[in-house]
Amino acid sequence: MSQLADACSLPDVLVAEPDVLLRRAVKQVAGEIGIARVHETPDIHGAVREMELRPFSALVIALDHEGDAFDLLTLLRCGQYPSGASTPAAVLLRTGQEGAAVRLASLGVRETLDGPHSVRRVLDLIGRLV
Amino acid sequence: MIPAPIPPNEAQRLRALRELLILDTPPEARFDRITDFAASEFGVAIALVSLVDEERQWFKARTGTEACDTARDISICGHAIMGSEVFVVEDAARDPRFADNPLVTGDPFIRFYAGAPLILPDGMAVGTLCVIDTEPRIFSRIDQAILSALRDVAVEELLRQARES
Repeated sequence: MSQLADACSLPDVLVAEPDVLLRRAVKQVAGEIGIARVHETPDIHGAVREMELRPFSALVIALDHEGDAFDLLTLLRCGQYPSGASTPAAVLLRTGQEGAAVRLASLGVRETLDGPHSVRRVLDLIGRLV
Repeated sequence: MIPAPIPPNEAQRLRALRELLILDTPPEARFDRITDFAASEFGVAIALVSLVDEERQWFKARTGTEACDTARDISICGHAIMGSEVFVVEDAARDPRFADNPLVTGDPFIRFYAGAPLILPDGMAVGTLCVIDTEPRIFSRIDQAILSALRDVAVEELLRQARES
């Protein structure tokens, strides 16, 4: 019963990342070490569906499709999702996307993480967000 | 050197391994990406999906080495499959079990090893997902958790591959 209570007390974090190994490992280890209950999805479309369903304490999204990610963040900051307009967000950048940092900052993105992305770095990032 | 032990359930273990229909099959991207990811994640020289057969350990996926297999009795993976937790050797050259192992004293000059056993739903440990380096290192609890998570994906792929065969 205490384990269930502990799991329920963890912050819910949404991770949208196409790399299944990174995504799965982040989810599993974040739960094991007790920093977050990670909900994972491979893309922004999945992230939108998740965000329409429930509030999250933080978001970590990969900038694979910049337009979709910017749209999601814009709607978030307009209060369109249960999470609330001020929900902490971080973005995982790929090589060559460093120029997006300025626009992301204007959308209230707290941190960007340059690739290559490791499980450890994403876990540390989540720890800072929550 | 202490040779890799033979587990008490060896006959059942070998049967479970053979039933996967994976030994001596060609490399596959779905396994290669796991070893590539593990090698990058931990910054190690070598990562393997190793399957421990009766007389050898055979590598379904390998990053950082051209070797396809080694003898079982000198395999560290052979020790790792004796348990269910991640098996860590922080410095093989200082570990009496492995200090004079030819894989430590010679190519690939293993100093660090961490192997997460590949355990099937019936409890049979058929091999490991392991990471190897030529320098000693500490492998934290979080590192072990990450390797275990990657191992779980490898087990899923073994089972999927068996269903598809």
